[in-house]
Amino acid sequence: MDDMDADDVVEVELPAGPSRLAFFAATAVGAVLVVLIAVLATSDGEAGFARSPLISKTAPLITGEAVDGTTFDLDAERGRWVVVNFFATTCVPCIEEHPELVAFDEQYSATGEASVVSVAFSDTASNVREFFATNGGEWAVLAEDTGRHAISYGVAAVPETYLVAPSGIVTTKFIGGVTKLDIETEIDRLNRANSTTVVAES
Amino acid sequence: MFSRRSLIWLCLLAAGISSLVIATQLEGPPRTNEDRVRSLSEDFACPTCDGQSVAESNAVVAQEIRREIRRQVDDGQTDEEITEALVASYNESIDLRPRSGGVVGLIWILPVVVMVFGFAALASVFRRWRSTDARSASRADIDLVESLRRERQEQVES
Repeated sequence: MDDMDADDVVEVELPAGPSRLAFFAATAVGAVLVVLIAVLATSDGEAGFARSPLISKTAPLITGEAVDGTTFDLDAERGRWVVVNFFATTCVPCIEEHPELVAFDEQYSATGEASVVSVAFSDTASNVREFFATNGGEWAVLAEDTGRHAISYGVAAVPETYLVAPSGIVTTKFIGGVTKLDIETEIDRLNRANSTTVVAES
Repeated sequence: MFSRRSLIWLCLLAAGISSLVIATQLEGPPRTNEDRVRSLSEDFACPTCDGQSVAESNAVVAQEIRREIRRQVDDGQTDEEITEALVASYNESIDLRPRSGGVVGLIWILPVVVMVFGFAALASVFRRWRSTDARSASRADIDLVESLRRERQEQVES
């Protein structure tokens, strides 16, 4: 019994120091893990591709031969709004939005306020010619070697439409089909925002 | 005894570091344009697919991005230029390679920090245990045991 008592005293005293350190180390590791899990769980991993880095930047170049044989250059359109429409002849929402683009173009290209350019995505020139012959539309359409244009605009799936300001800056990205009203509303909003900025500056 | 053990640890450390160095050196930069296109395609996320790279996906946009990478590689652009151009068009979600900054950087730094502190704490705990072992056999302990035993002996004899 006396021997046991002596052993007990020794054993109780020994781990006191090291186990306190182990406790603090374990607490620190645990706290770090909790923070890490909390940060990862609340971060929006799905923010994804919807937000375009092109907004407020100079529009990427679009130059090339249109399907009607003329040469198109986006830079030559400076001074008016440009609706850059990426589409494919086989895409249903593209077919659905087409009359809206036709109506928009008919109203604004005559006055020189705005113009439309269509860029076919992974399609053929003959399909595109047929599409415009059937569905109407009098604006420039690029169909050959257009992958680089679509990639430089960050197109993920057609239809996608980019609005380029008269200054050549990309202002808006529309994902999915657009309507004439969508584009008009956006141009109105931006014109108003722009005029208030000018007033505020003067 | 102690120095022999630390020698073993040093050998293990050296073996680990040298195998890491060899592993990273052996996998040199890809040589042909074909290799570069393939490895770059694996580094980018297909924008319309869930969790697939541009290399894996057959989506139209993935095919177009592969074609564009091919064109830029043939144009003589560097991997960095090609990556920058795609990130400028699609934003950084397209870049599948782990980033080193921001919150994501924590994932890489934290385990290292935790490991270093954890090992340091363990080493310190083990060292303390060892030194308390040595103390348990100190002169005072031996004297104490000796005196207790003598006391008991006397009790038994009396």
